[in-house]
Amino acid sequence: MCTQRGFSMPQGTTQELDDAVEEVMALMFERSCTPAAGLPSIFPSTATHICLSDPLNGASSLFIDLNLAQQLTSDLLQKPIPEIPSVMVTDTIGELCNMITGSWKARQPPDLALSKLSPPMKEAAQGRFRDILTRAYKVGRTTFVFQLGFCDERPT
Amino acid sequence: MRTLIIDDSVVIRRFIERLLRQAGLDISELHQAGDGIEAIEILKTVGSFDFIFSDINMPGMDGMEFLKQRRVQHLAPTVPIIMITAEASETLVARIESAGASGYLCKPFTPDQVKACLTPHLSAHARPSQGGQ
Repeated sequence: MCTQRGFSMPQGTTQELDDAVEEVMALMFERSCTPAAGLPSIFPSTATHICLSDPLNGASSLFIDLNLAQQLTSDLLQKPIPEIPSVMVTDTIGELCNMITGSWKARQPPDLALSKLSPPMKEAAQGRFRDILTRAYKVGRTTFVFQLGFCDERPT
Repeated sequence: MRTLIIDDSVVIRRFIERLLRQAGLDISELHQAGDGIEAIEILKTVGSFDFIFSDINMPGMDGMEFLKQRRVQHLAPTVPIIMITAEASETLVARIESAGASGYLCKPFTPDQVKACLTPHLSAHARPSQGGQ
């Protein structure tokens, strides 16, 4: 995502995103999750992305450490990590991104909550992103990063 | 209970299965489909179910089209269908209801929410015990 000036993010976005992340981690994974102070200098290497469109155009991205993703998958499936194929881990990351984005979107006013979500994608959405919110969250000792970007036109 | 779970995410299908069991429901037969097309084929070959859970946002045939096709093709017309979504807006909920679904669950959800959603559609003997498990 690249940034440009001149776009106002929906009011309360940071708190709503924090609440959405906390809710998803608690209900789906029974894990406590808190906002981290600052951002990691290097984002975790495993990522997934979702496009938002009509009327709110933008994208969300989840950057997560592979070990944490494997552990979350293990929590969901209640299977030991060595028995979990990598495709399931990818699946979990996509669902996590989808649920956080959906939960954040559900907290928006009715007109914005109509916005549609794409299926999770491996490649980052392309668009002229005017405003980006990046937050880091701690699960145990591990940090993951969630990003919400907004633009005027539907990203691809 | 004979149950069909439709979701493109294998992880979510397994998760729903686990929640159903945690909710104290007796799942005697479980079928899974990755999208609406596969689910329609299962309905044609397997026949009726006690419950169907369907994701809405899926590649291929999505959940809303599945509801339409089920109605058009007169497949399992009386089976309660619970739609699953990560993005329940008032408009979407209205569309879900008018398309013939019996209810919806908004991800993320808990065993208690699953139980609350299913209980009105269960016969007395099939109702889960208090507290599940």
